[in-house]
Amino acid sequence: MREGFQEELDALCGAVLEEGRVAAHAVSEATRALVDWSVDAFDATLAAEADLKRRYVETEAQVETVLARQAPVASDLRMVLAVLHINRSLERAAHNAARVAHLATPPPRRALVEEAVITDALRAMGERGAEMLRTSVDAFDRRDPGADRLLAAFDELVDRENEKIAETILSIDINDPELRQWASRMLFAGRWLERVGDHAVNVGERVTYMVTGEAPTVEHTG
Amino acid sequence: MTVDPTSETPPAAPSSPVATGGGLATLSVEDRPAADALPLDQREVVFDCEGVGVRYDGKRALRDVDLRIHANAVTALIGPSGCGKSTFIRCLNRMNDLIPGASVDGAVAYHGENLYHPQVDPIEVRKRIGMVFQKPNPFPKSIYDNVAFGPRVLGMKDQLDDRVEQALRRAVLWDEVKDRLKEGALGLSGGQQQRLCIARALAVEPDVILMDEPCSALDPISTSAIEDLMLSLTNEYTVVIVTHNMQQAARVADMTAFFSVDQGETGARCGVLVEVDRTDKIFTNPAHERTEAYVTGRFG
Repeated sequence: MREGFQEELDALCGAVLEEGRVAAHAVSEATRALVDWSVDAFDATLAAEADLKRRYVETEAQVETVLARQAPVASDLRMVLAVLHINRSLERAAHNAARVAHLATPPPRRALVEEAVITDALRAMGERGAEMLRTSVDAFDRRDPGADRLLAAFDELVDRENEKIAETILSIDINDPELRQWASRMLFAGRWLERVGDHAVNVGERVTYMVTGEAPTVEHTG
Repeated sequence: MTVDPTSETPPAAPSSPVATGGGLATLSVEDRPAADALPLDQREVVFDCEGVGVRYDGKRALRDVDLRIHANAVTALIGPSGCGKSTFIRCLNRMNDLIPGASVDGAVAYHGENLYHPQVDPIEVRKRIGMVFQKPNPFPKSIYDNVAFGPRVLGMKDQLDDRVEQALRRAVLWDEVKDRLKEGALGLSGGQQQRLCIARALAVEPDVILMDEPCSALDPISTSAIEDLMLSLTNEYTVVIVTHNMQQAARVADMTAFFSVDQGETGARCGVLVEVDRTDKIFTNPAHERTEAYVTGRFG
């Protein structure tokens, strides 16, 4: 048994779990910034994104070292390859959270029912996205090969909320420039939150590959 | 079937396929299918081993090996020390016959012919199925005479110079020695000596090259040269290699067989074949936990 090698693998696992926590936090804070217009949440989102970018670079360097020095094979190789992909997915999820936070702006001062529908849908998407990220890294920690199916089901719900946002925006009068600007921002926010769900699904599929060796489906882009 | 190779080999009967050169593989190099012409599992089966086991002085060293080895491919045998992989590879050209007290059971078919049939001549077997050993073992003769030794002994004396040159070319040694063929082989480097031994095996036009840890005494550059050579040899030959170096198996082998050691109730240790599969499968997603534990370094 190569103890040093095992320690390096354990360190990679720990890095992924920590990155998952940071990514989920970034998405939660971005959602709060978006729907509650919280400056603190905005700052927290950007801090989390910066933290994750730093971790991303460190994890990739660790993967490079393990591949170069330990030449892992079989389940170890699959684990290291999974970490390489999951690292990227979590970094992208946090980056999308930062994009969402940057779109935060109060709606025009109208008590439109549609505004509430859109805001509720974005909140639901953000909360669901953060939960999906936590679920995906928990699956990684528990080596759960079945979480990809659960995550795909959650992703359907996220997609439906996103469609609801698009349909609502199409239904409202956007001749008003202020309303049009806010609506376009929320449309993009919905798109970035939808991508967070895709990244969580990617993580789940990489976990399945890591455990079973079954090749993952085509990567959900975003 | 039980064969005791220590018993006297009966003289070849007039109708013996080996006596007439018709019983064992008779494909010339030119007749052999090009490597990679067919998917690995559809290529001709060179060795079909069923229930192969070996005993030394009655003590079982290897048991129940079922393994097919396909043509124009490199098959690697890996496993911890004492797992029987060298014992097994020696079954493929009847080298165990030379060990007093050794007996082989089970069936080894070579191109469909029983390799241990009483009428099969072990010398002919070793001509068709050459072997290269862990430590380069050139004769204390010239480079030329080393390569020409086998053909001379076997009466293959026509166009001997061409035969020597072709063998050295196939072993990727010609350019390094063509101007000093009459010099002593012991003056070559370790890597060159090992390629000379491969050339010596090739000079008698074998069908199969068996290699028992051919790189374990070589430096990385020489190892790389031998590994490149193994890959090029599969265009014309079938290669079986025993190696302790798993990365070497991963680099050169098309198929990998993992052997391990079982311990019986009496404490006796015996080699067994655990798993054989495509090399990429063995090193990314082996089917057996024992293979997984070995290739990942958690056992053995």
